[in-house]
Amino acid sequence: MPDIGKINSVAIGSISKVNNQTFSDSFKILGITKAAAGGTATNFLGQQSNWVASSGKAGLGFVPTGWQTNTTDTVFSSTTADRQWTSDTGGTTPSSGTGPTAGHNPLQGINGNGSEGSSTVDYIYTEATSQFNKRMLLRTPELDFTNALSNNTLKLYFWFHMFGSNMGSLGVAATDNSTSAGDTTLGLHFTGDTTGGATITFWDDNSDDGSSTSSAVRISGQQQTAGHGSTSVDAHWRLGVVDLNSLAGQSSVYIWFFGKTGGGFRSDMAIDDVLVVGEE
Amino acid sequence: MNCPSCISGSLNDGKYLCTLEDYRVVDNSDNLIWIVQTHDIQSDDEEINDSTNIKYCICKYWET
Repeated sequence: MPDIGKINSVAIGSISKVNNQTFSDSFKILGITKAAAGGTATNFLGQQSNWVASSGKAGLGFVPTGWQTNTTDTVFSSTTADRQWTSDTGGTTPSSGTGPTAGHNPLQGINGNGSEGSSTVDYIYTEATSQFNKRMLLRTPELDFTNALSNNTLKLYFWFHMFGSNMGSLGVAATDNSTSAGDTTLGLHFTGDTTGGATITFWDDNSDDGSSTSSAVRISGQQQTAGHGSTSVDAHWRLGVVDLNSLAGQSSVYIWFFGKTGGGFRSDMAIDDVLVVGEE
Repeated sequence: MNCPSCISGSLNDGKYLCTLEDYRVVDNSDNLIWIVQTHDIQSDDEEINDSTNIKYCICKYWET
């Protein structure tokens, strides 16, 4: 038998565990089992690029059908939101020195780059003018993960833009409660302004290809170093990813975006092209 | 430098300015070029009179 040095491009010498069993030096592998059963790729939430309401309106509190941004919704414990998110039909936000130049180019999928689209490509954001240190909640429609496989393919993808010297923080939670991001049932709820929620793995520099990432429960402070009229790579959108594997099998899930503005008007944070995919 | 939007125009130095009534593009002498949009921000808000440097074209394209 010829000497086999690699399996699927992985050097055999570097394999120390299979199915979580640690090898000793003389251990013999009699078979290799696929880690998890594959399934059918599914969009549990199709790419949300269009942020106008069903009435065709955009602005403070206008969201697509099934989405929700209410000041009566709970952020955590007994704390409710202070203000709604604002949908924008494209171009910059009004204030200088903050916000994107336009929405994320919807033709750039999760394997693409963060370039902005035309001036009519819309997005949704936290309008910070005269709204400092305000909590704003936005949630998805109800998502059904009953048939989602628990094979680490179930993920949330979203593009974010956080340019501005007063930038606040952005978090993601998941609950089975349509009016509370603090509901504890699923274990991915917010517990405070900077605590609780899901871990976000996000692009943390202007490489524009995901080659450098960080992970945290909040994306905090200014991320992009340009925006609002700039088309340089420094102004490009960045990708955030959340592992939803623990929610596979749940029949009712709402994903929440919690933006808290900073202490000045340069705190317009935006999200676009939100997508939930997995296998079932 | 030619305007990337209309091609034929040229880019000029100016400012994106927040006034008491609106967001506007002005030249470096604060002469109005065009109004971007009106607003209802309070007169004592820190954003009033804030500005950033931009390049603009008379076709209403601007960039930072």
